[in-house]
Amino acid sequence: MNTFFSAPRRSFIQLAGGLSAASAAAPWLSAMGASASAPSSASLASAADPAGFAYVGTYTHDAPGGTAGGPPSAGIHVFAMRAQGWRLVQVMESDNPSYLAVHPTRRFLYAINEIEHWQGLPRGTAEAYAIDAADGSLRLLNRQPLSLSSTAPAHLAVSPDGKQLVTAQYLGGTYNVLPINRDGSLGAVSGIVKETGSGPRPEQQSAHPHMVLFDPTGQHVLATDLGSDRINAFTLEDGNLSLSGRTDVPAGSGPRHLALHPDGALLYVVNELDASVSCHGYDAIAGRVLEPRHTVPATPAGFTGTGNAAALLMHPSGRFLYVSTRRVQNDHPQADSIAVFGIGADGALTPLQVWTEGLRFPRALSMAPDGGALYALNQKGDSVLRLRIDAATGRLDNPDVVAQVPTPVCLVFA
Amino acid sequence: MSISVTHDDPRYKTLKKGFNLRWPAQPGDAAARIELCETPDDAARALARIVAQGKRPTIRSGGHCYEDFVSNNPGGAILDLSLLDRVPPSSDGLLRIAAGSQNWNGDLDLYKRHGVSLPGGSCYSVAAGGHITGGGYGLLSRLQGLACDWLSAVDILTVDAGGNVVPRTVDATRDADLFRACRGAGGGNFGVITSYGFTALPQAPREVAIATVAFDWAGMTPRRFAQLLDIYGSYWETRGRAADTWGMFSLLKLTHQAAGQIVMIVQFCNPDGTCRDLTVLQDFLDRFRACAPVAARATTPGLPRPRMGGDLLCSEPHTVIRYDWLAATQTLNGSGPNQRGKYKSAYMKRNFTAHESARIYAHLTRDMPGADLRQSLLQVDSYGGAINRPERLRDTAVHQRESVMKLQYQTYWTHADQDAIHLRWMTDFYRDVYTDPAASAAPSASSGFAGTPYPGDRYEGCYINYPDRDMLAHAFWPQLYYGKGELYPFLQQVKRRYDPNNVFHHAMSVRP
Repeated sequence: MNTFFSAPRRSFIQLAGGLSAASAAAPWLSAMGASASAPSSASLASAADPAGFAYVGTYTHDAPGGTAGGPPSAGIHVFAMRAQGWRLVQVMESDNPSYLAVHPTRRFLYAINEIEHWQGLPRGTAEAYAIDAADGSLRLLNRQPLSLSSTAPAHLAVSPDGKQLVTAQYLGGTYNVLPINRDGSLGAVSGIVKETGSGPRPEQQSAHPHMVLFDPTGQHVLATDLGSDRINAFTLEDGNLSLSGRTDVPAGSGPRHLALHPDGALLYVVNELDASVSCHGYDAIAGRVLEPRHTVPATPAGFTGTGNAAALLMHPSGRFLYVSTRRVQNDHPQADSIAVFGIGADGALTPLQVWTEGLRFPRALSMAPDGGALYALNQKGDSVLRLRIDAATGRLDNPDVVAQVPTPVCLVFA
Repeated sequence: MSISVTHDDPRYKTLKKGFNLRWPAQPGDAAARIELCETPDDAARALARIVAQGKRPTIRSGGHCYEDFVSNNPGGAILDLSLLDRVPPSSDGLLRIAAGSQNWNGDLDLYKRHGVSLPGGSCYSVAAGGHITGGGYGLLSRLQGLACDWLSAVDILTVDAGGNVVPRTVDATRDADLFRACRGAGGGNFGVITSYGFTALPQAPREVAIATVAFDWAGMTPRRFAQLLDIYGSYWETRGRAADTWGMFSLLKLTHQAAGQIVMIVQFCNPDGTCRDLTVLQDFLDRFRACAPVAARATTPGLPRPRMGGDLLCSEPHTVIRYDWLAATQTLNGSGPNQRGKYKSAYMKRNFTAHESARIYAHLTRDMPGADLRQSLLQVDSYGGAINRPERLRDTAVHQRESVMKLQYQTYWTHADQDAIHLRWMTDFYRDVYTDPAASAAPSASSGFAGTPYPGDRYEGCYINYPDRDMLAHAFWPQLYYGKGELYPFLQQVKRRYDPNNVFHHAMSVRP
């Protein structure tokens, strides 16, 4: 009996019981089935875009790292994904929606607004949107302020039971928990964690929470702190996060994003500042991040520029890992890249490929739900680049710009 | 060990609140616990614990913060220093006032032990912690300067980048930048101040005269009202600059007409701390004869209650009583009852304009159906004198050194259902006074600052110890409190250096 996978199923049943609308449960069941169970090889065979909707988060102003220099984005770009291509459905006005998350029911979309002031106070905000099942368009449900001094939220995650949203505030050095109401709207902040900490680099004067990730049990939240070189584990209980463990990573590495291996016992972290990737053991029962087992550079052998890593993407097969790097201040031809790694039995990473064509400051990567392609969000290229994934080798090929979006930095599907 | 008061403790219901009963605004805004600290060591340990738990600390000494900066702390911890009201004598010879020492207790202590006084606030239950670091002024400030002007050292706990608590004694040579910031920037910005050190404090006056006079609202025409303000403001703009008047401090309580009477209270002593020559006081009072002065009624709000005896020097229309200084201080040190309140402030460098007088009159006579405005007033205090020594601009964080009057808008009420109407009355009042159509008709550099006493020709902004979060609507709010010069950028540097994680923050704290 694999106890690891039994937990989300329990969570799902609880929530399904709590939903009054029976119709809501059906689409959600398939969504959960796709994401919580190990993907079958059959599902990897299809490489076509699914007939669903794509939501692209953007910087609308003050983009860290800069823009392509064109007209600014107005907010969240909504696309219908069809066999003949992506069709723009809507541009939903939003203030720096730099990260998005879809509710497990697929009925709601959440965004953080990466801003430093809201209504005269230093804080960011989070937004809840209803998704129109027919055309994918968004309708704003509400916008909630984050806690005081929770400035520049950078990431968010919806709990697997769909009842809570957790956000990470990069500048404010905080995490917030917000309850998700039955209608999908966000309640007022119910839990606040205020962090301290720093590191040796100039970017590390204070704590900088960068990402929050629920483990499949839904009880634990794993979080990177780029400022203090730590991976934190929290327990979510009664609308509050309490610290259950901290794991230090090498000083100056700047951990940015996390990805759990589908077997649940390995946690990968991409370190932005030293452009590396590490593999840690993960104890899902205790919610503990263990010591790192392997660390490899995210940049190719012989790279002489300033490495700056950004996104981390696990292939649903658990066999490949994708890491993006960004050109911050040098002209090395491979500064904007996606490194492809093979994952060995013990979690070790073997470099397989470095892809650079068509990349312009790829801040984020997204996996097609069937694992047949990944998408690079070209923040300074104003484009969403699709790259086909060879199911057998994990290698990238067949670049295709599927959408033109100003300053795109996040992509989710519903 | 600090005493930790959490939700189930019977004391929690009381201790989660401060003086202004509007806060916490909602049950969910309350702190999860209150840590009562008796020693600096208690405070350091409690602070370390709070930070390590990822909680937000807010700091309370007397609990008189007007805004929500302390009591609105959802899930966080209030570090309460009210029991830290005494610190043992130290080897450096400084006279120390602990953060939790309340004004009146401090007055007694300083007077009885040393014969000195701190030129700070009169409200007896305001404590040193928040008061002195926001500047601190009171009835002796024209004679002796601000409380923070006398400060020689500050004992403060900061939190370093790694989250460790660092106890520091800062002064003009050790962490001089943080020391300067503690002299006026306001509480809750950089760390937890546990005590203030003074190498010297001024001698307390031997005696003072307290004069009380009133002006009836009945028959108070706009013209007569404007005349009253003009006489008052003109005195402080001109004659009040002379050093022989520095021992005189006046409080003009421009009540709403519902209160019945406007009251003026004056404390006076000669610069040598005696009442031997009352010519200056008499001259000041005589100027108001044209305004139909009357004796103050005992029922008029805001009137001091003479309980300590004294020598009646003159009565009708003014009452002038000579007191020993300590007795006078006790007579004038009321804090008022705990209730709901809203406050605003303004520093004036010049006399009132016709526009200002007219708008003040209009709002003090405005009928707000359903609101009881008997406790609503604009208090105009005298300012200047020793406060306005320009050299203090460089070594303190108080930039208001050219003003002659300091205005405190106040309104009080008891029930939450009256919040909106009282806030509206005051918001309208304040905005109108600082929106001069004549001035804004002519395009000028100041037109973007309408509705506020933006520092310039006539105004010097607002007082951080009378914080008003409505000012946050203006991107220039730091300039209202800290001026247009180098002070606010300096404070931001201090913030980044000593509180790199912005552990100490509130709605109006210095931004990192």
